Amino acid sequence: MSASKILAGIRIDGKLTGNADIKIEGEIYGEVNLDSSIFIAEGGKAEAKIKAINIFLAGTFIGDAEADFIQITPTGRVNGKLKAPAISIEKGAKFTGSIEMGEGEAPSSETSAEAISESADIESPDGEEIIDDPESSEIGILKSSIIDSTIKHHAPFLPGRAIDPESEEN
Amino acid sequence: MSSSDASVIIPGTVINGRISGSTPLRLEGEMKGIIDISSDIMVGQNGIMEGDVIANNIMVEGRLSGKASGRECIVIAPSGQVKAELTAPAVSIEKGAKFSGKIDMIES
Repeated sequence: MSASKILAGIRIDGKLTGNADIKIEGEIYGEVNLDSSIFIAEGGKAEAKIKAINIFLAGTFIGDAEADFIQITPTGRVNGKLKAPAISIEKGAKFTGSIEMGEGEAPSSETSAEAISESADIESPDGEEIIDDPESSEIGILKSSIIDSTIKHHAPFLPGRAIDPESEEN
Repeated sequence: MSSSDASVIIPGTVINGRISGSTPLRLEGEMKGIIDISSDIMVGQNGIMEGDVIANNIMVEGRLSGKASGRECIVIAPSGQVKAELTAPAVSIEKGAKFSGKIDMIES
């Protein structure tokens, strides 16, 4: 037994604390405050304010999450606010909400969204720097970068862009 | 009660609030509040339960204080320490167990 396990068919309402890892396959509503990791498994559901060392979301999560590392796996369905120096949203995952990564240096992780957005920044068209609007999330930057490169790709079909010779040369 | 298909709350996990549901539960951590399940619960040797417990079968190897209501049976194992009001059609207090409180053996 290395983790508490809440299976399907069990629902917790209230506050969950402690230093043991937790896996949720059932449901939890309320507040979670852990000095350990929590895993919302596929099929599991959490509507909560979660603070933990690591948060893995493979099921449904609605609420606020704060951790050192947050990962949404391909089966994850997330709606809320995420706050962590390192966040990974894997391909296939659904996410609606905001992300705050703060100033701290993220642990080196190939799959972290920060790493993805950094590499996306390099490919930004016309060498123009994408300013980090404090209101915009990393995902916002990532998205705008993708949109920009889409525009660039379709530039000949877009009025205004097409007649700009410099953009053709790029 | 097989523990392989039971939810487990291990030492180091503390819950304040309510646990409800229809599948078995094993408590080895700490729980304060209400547990209301249409299945069986085991308060394991490390488990500490404070509050109300309602379940089909209730087995206590650890500590329980408050109220416990079993639809079928309540068993306090030799390692159990219980200070509670028990209500169940069948109650068993095994030799070595500590118990103080009331017992009501309702007709089921």
